Amino acid sequence: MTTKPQTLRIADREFRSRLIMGTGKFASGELMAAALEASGAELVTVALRRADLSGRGDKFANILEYIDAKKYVLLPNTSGARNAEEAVRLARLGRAATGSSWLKLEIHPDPQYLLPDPVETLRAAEMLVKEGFTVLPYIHADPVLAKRLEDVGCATVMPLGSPIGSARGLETRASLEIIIEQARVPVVVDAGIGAPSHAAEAMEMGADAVLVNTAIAVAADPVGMARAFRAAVEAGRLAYEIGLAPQRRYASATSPLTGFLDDAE
Amino acid sequence: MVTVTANGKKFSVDESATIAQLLGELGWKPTQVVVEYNGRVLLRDEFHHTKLQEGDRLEIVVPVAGG
Repeated sequence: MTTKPQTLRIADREFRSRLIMGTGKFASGELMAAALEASGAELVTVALRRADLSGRGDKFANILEYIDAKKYVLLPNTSGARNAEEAVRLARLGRAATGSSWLKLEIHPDPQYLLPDPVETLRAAEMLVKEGFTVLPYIHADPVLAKRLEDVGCATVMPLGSPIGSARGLETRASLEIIIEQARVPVVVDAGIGAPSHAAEAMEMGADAVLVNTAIAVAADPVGMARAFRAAVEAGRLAYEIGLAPQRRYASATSPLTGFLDDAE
Repeated sequence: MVTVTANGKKFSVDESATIAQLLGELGWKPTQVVVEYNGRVLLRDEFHHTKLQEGDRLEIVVPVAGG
């Protein structure tokens, strides 16, 4: 028997890949594009910033030129928003810029830990769902908030494993397990995934997808690291679909416990 | 001349200049940017026939790399 991988369904779309990639922090647009290809990701985040009006363009001014809009679903984010109103403005700008009404909703006013503001995120999510956006909110691993966001019509919930860019893995594991148990929308573990093993761990737990950026972008070889994450996500998901062996208190021998040398008859 | 605020900075433009003309002076093509004009996101078609008025506020943004 071979297990055929299940596709990931978010809102009205199906994805074969369960790895979502962020485009930040790459040394160049070309390198980002090569890593994106290697990652197999089909959903990809971008941000919005004020255009440089000084006459001196910045190097990442045209990130969309490196992403084939026919091949990928663009997920503009609301990074930089400090409250719900700013997030709504950024969402509308993002939709106009990308032609995509899919949105990574993120509101994190504290620059040190970049932890998401739950009150503003819920408020913004309600407004944006009403405006027709497909909202994928970035949240702390709070099971109650996850249900509230699901109730207002969010397409997923995206709880963090640990702070953005920290590479510390699934520090919120116990809460992630509750979110996964209770959610009726896909759960995407976003932020803090620093190693392929973290991604595999999230998938083995039953997360529907992971979002990875820094760990790929800052690697010495981002294309190679994208491939490593792709393999880890596929491995973790396959193991989850099959079901892991139960954990046990005591050892359980894998070799026969009979027929040892010098056994008494 | 009229004075408008774009991305938090003041710019003086000719009376009856359009948003497309302002963008051109600032070195951007209309296809590269998105504009929020007095709180409303404009369609790109509107850049050419929206004439700037004294005190207008614009946010001119571009998609950039990000997670």
